[in-house]
Amino acid sequence: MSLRITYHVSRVVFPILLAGVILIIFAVCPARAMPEYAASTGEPCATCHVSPAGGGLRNVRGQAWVASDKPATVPSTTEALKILGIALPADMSIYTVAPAVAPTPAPLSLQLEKRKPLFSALQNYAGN
Amino acid sequence: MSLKITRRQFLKYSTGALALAGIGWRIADDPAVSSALRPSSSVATATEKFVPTVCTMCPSSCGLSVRVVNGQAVKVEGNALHPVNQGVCCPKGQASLEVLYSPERIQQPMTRASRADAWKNISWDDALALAATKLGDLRARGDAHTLALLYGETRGQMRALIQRFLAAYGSPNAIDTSDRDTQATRLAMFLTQGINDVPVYQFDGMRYLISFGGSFVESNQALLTALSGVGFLRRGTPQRGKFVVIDPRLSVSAAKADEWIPIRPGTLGAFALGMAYVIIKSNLYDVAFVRDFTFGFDDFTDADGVTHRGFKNLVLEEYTLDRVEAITGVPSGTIARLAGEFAASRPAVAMPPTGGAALASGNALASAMAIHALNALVGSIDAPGGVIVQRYPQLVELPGFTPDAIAQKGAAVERVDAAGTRDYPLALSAYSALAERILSQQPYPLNALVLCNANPVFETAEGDRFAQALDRVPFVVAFSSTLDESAAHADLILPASTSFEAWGDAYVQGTGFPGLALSQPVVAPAPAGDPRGAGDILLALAQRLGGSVAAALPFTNYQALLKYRVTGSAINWDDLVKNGAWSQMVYFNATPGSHVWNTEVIGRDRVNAPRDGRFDFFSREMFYALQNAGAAPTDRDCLPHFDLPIETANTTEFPFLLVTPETMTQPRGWNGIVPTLEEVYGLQNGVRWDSWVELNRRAAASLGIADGDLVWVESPRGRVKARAKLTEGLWANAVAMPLGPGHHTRIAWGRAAARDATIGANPLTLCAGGTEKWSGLAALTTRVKVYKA
Repeated sequence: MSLRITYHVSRVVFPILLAGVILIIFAVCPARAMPEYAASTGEPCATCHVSPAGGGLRNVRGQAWVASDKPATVPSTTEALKILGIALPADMSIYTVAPAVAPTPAPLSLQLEKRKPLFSALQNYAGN
Repeated sequence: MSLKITRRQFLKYSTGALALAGIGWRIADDPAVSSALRPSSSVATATEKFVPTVCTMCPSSCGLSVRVVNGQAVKVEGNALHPVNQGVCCPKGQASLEVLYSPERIQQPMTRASRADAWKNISWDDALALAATKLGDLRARGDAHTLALLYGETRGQMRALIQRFLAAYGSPNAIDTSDRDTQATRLAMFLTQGINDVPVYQFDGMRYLISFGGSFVESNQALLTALSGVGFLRRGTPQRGKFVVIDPRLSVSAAKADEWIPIRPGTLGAFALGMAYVIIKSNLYDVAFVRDFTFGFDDFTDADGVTHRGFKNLVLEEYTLDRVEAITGVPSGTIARLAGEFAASRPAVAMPPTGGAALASGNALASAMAIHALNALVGSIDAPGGVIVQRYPQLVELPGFTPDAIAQKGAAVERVDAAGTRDYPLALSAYSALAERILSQQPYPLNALVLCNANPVFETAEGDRFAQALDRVPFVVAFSSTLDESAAHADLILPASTSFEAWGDAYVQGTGFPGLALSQPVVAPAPAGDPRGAGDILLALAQRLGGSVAAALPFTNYQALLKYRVTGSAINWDDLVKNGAWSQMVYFNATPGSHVWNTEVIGRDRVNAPRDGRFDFFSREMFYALQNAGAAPTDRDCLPHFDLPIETANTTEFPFLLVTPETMTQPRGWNGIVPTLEEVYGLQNGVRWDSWVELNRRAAASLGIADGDLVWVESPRGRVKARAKLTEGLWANAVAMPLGPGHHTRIAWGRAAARDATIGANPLTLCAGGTEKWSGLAALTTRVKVYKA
């Protein structure tokens, strides 16, 4: 009598190995993206996450949505800030309200005046 | 194939296996062996912690989480709380512990009596005393302005600290070294949009992205944000965006794009203007936005009644498709099609490069302006899915200081690199001009030079000239971790720490919203002797110099400075230490014409031009700056335009244009000392621990060069040897050599190589040093010939 290894490999060993590999993958890679939330709220992932692809850090809307027990609708940014107890330094209208007619620009002046040199302003920029 | 085992064989093997297991059990039962197998007491009592810090292997400054076991840093992963990388860590970050533990690192301060003498170790106290004495003497004799400090990548408060130190000391010469990387794009953004920063992109909602050179998924200011952004753009949720790359070389970005458009090197600006021609000619631009929120699109009349040419007429007259095709080598039909797609698929973004010397052809500024002008044409400025503006956290201002008489006198002196003078009125710095000016002692002899994360002998064209220049400076101090090519010309080396050993910070960039990350000592004591952070060194020097210098920087160390700036802001110091990063995580796009639009999106940093919420096609800021410098600018000078690359070599003798890309495996200043990255240096072509030169297959065939041949690449400046890699993915009359290799190493690293060796070849040694008119940006257009070695 002989044992046919191929039979075991194809029908028994391989599925067990595969199941093991799948278990290991799931064990070491916690699921992060939750597309079902996007489906239930009707919002793209970027509504709640910093990365537009979803997963990872939540932005303020995402944080407020979780903090308010995941309602059907994701709070707007201003609602979210209220839920999280974050006070905006200014009214949101400074971002949104613009005059109906844009003012005409001042004409370019050719008069040579002593103006500030660019150099020092160029050096003192914000950021890294 | 089947394997048959008989019953006899099965029983035989089973018995043998049981016997072996029994022997193993007996061996393990032996007290001598079992004690060796048992976990040692140190492992059994191991203490483990995860400490957040910041990666310094590239400008992205990602957050890291370092696993520390018994005081040893053993593994690096991404910090999940940092918004740029969100737990992800690229190969450079993974390999960063090899920098921390590198045997190349300098262990303690070193000095020598003269440049010909051998180095000798000295204490930190003696080293700081020596530096303070030399700098103090200069200051006392009224020559404070003859000190210059060259700085490379800086993060967080470091650049402000450098500038404050020099301002208080009395020198105007804080010289930035990014003249072939980010400066062109930064300057273009400033001169058009009035924002002194590199642009940031909102991938969420973007429908079309056209990247002009620079391979931004390999080398970028916010690399992992760009990688995930492009992945999202092309994933098709909710709508698949199109990604196009214009580049002489099939870079990784180009390979990942929907379409790669090969182009003649140095002509990216002309391509952008060709697109503008189609968009304007076909009335595909955003008419309302251009009318209400831009300046200089149409011809206009100034206050004196003089008519000036606007962008529209310049483009329609000078950049017709047949002319752009002749300049760029790209078929006019392709340019027209892409322009149509770009204008019709809003929000669309045109991305200028920030690395790889992709624009450094003598026309960098005008080219970057032309590329960014496309964003204004289609109304993508601060639009959702468009080009946004990086915002920064409001930190507590440093205490004010009053410069003393020496400092005031120094501030009024002309810069040694001529930045801000009539030669370079638009320059933040003119790094590439510096060597010749030091050698010619113009406008004055330099008496002291500090190198802070800068290696000019390696990273400038004509580095050998910079080596000569360093030898002309009586006192050179290098804040350096290794004995690099420039530190080798110093009188005093102060060993700089990595971000695993010292307190530091980095602004979160690439996201739009404000954020700050912290680096902190992860291992203590430092594994490589006694390094110190550059900030700590400068603050210690300030205290030793005393007087108004010490008063301007009243902090015992960089941690104290950081705490001062953070405490009282919206950031909690303890949380910052614990989490490694703080960010606001919300970006508000501003409506054109709104208060924020007029103050933060357009014109925020303007100096002389009005802050009227208008994007400048005709750069009023440039007009005034050039006028002030007595340069009499033409209308064309102030508009996005294209000038042919500056070339001096004979095109018959030197038929190929040199392209110098950056790869993802290049760890900037650490090149050559990170063995893992050297092992994977040529990820796509398998080249390791060496350089390569890419040649177009057709060109190589005509030269009789086969893939893998050793060849000489020769320019009028010199020649280097490299292995030829043949490809279809390169403009026919270009050759490409990656930036980064060519460093000297003192370690054999297990290779069959000498201990003192140079790894690969530095393509910058082939380039003639040049600067761009007015902006002082590096101009590196180089022609070469290639032949078998």
